Amino acid sequence: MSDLLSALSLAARSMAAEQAGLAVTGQNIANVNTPGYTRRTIELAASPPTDTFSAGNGVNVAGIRAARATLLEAQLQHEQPAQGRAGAMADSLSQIETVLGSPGSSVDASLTRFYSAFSQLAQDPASGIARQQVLVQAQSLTSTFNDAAARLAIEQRNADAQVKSNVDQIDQLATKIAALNASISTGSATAGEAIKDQLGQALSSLSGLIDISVVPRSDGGADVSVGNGRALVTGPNVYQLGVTPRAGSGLADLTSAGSVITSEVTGGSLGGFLQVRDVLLPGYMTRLDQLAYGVATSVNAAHRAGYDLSGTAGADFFVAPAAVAGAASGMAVSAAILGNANLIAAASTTASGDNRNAMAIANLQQTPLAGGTTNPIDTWGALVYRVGTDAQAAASDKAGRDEIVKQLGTLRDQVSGVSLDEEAANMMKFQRAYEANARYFSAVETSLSVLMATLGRS
Amino acid sequence: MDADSRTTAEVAAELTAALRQVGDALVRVDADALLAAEVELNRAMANLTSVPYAGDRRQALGAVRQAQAALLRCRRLGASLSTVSRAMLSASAPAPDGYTRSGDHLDRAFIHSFMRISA
Repeated sequence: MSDLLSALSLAARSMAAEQAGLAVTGQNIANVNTPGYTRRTIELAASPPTDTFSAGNGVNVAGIRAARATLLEAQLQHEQPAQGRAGAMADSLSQIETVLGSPGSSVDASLTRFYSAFSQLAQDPASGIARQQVLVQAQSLTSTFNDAAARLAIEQRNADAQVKSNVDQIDQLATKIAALNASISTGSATAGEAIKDQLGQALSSLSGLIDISVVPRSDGGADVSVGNGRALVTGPNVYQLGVTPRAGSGLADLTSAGSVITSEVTGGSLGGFLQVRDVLLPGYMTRLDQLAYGVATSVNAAHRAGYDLSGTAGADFFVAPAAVAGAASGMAVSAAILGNANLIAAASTTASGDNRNAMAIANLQQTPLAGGTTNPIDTWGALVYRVGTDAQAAASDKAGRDEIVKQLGTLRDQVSGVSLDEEAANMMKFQRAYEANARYFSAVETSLSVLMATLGRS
Repeated sequence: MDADSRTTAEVAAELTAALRQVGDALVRVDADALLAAEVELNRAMANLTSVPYAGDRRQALGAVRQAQAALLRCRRLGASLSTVSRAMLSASAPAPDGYTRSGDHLDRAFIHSFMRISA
């Protein structure tokens, strides 16, 4: 009788274990599209025999575990800030590229028309129409410079708005992570796995926004720091980032516990927007200002050397820029000349019909700007080219990072839920398959270099 | 098509296609596709070294640059895969005193009494 009861008990235990396995499978299938869900595995342990004549007492559920690929999660947290940074830079730079316009249709076109107007004036220096045309093209040039400077300033403000928005998102995620840490430390083991999934998802989102250091806690939670080890989350405590207006520009500086940490943040989309706002855009703005300053001062110097229609010595053609900074946004035609086209100094002497000063100003189109080696149009071309190459480099970097993150995500999905032995076998298989191709790479590289050199010479 | 009748640009494009196949397999972490790409890469490489340089120079330069970009992509993705593989292999190999990659202690007798079911 006792044997029969034992057999029934064994069968019941085995059925319970089987049902638990089915429940885990159902849970995994139900969450196949849940972001951050980690597949669960059931661990069954043989129930030990009660006496020496028994083979065993069936099977018990030893536990349900989430198959986390912790190393790959860490690798993803390492790659995602670079992906976020490249993405933010690529997006911003593509907008800046659009703002500056294509070659031949922006500042360069206005410059060409402006110098051509002086060339036309040289053909008939007394012509009122030609003089009006110079003023029209000069105003068009100044408004093009003003517009380009304003657009770059708007892009800088847009990047600044993105910085503030990113900080808000970081603080929200930090608060969520701290709350999840608190839940993990107080919740049950089974509920803990679901919370750890949410924690992994929150850390993944956070690492796309800012470069983070994650230190796992013994209870399964995570401590997070940013910049040079600034605490963001410690257990259930959160130390939010803040923003404070920078003296002078008013742009947002990042703060942590009262200290400004803007320069410590380089990764994530926040790092990308900071790089665009604080490094790239100011560089472009300075180049634009240098061009506007160079054009205004060279035209003014030439104009002062000439004589107007009444034989009076010429004055400044453009409002003299006080400094390089702000020259593009403040560029304007002299009010006196704007009100009287006869004040345009087309002659280099007081003699009637002299056109040499108009010719001299027209020739400035081909003259390198003071302190530089390129003429105004080529200087603008160099700026547009620089923005274009920066945008292309960022887009290429983004594409590469996207692929690596996708690769790591695929690896994570492939290894989660398999045994350590299978995982190792998979890794060996991938590595061997890659090495089969990689042995050609050096030869391919050499051949392409030789081919490139040969084609370059021919 | 006879290999000798092809232009440099065509041969470089063939190499680019083979390298892209390798890159795509690396993104998908598909070992079978990687091994299949080896054959294509081998053939493209053989053609590159045997075909005389011919055709439009500008077109050929563009095709070679694309091949170089595809090779760079393979190297970048391969480096990522190698780093992860190396780290995971060393971490998953049981240490003499028996710790898993997540730091849990491995009791071998206990582990072998388990049957894992992966869903």
